[in-house]
Amino acid sequence: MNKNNNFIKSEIENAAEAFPFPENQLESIHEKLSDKKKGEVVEMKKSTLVKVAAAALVLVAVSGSVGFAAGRASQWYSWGSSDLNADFSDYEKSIAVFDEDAVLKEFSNGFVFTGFSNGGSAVKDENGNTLGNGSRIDVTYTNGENSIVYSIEKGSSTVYDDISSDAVAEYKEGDTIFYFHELKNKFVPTDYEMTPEEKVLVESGKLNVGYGSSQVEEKTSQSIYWQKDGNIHSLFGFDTGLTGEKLFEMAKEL
Amino acid sequence: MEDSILISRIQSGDASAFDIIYEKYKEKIYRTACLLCGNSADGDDISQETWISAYRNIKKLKNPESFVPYLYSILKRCAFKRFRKRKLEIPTETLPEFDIQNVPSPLSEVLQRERSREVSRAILSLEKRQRMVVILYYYNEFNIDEISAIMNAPPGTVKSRLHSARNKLSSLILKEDFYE
Repeated sequence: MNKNNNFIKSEIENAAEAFPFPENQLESIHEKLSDKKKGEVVEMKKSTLVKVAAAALVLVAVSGSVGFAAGRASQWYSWGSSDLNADFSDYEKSIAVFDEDAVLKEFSNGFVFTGFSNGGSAVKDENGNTLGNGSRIDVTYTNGENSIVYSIEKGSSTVYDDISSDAVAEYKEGDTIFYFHELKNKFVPTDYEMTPEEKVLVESGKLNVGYGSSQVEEKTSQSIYWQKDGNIHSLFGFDTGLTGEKLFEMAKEL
Repeated sequence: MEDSILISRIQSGDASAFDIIYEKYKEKIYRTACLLCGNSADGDDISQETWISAYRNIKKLKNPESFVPYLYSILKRCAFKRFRKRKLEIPTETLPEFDIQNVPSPLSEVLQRERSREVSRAILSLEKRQRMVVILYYYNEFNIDEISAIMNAPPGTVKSRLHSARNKLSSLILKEDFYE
């Protein structure tokens, strides 16, 4: 830049800095985003969801079509959904389809309803043959720092051959058993090649590798699964810090 | 953390990632909006609308690497929409009062505020597209191609607008009696 350009730049920067940044702007944005009175819909669509049946995992994929190193399972789980709908009354109507009445707006530990999406799912084998179909609803709750998704899946017996598989803890309430899972997930670029050690971990079901991220990122997922009225229920999140006990307490509130 | 990862996380439903990316760009977005409209109240509204629209439409962003031009193109749209609604092509003589705090200050600070106010007036005297180009170029340090993508205008048009705006600004803020 020449001298004049530098001078103009400096003057504009000074003029910009003279505007004091408003306090609480982020809080105001959050309020508007969750303002249900206006009937506004948060236009967030859940991307492809990939699931490994044997491990009863859920992995919210980072973008588009994402491959998944399925370990011992040779099945692929695909998932399409509606946009995230922030209207709680719509959620109450949608959940009736699942013959459920779990319309919780807020958990006692502070996780608050932020929206839901529903849609269909299909399990396919390695050759793309459909093994089974289901319908599901995903409800997102946030405590300001972490998000957790409560899911109900109907007609998914082919997806979950055993929700107890690889569970690290079990809890019981009445006749219902809750299975807690905690697993490492690694998001990697599509051209990523697993190390021999990683291949062993994937084969043993201790590591899940999701393809499609722009760079390598590791996350630990915490989830709890239970079966009720023929539907599969789960609470799932990444790096939430929630223990099995805490997830069990949340599950009991539903 | 890279923008692309944060965007992917937002797209997959991780609302906390939005707060991180907001922190990264909030001041530039806010002050760009303020420079565009000349006052902090409209600047606050426009920047909030920008963030809300960016969040709600984030799934439409196919390439997470393009988040910055995506964000600024929304800012441009929000600002121009407000200009249309409020006919905010503000002639210099009807400028809203610039933010000056009513607190005792050293003379140098008072002069700096007055200088900033005059520069803001000079920017506002530009046609809105010229104004946007100048702010993107000088304040946000985007190059011609990046501005072209944000403005959805050919690079030649951007250069032309920048040239005209620079000449006009120079004549206003470089003149000898500007600070007198």
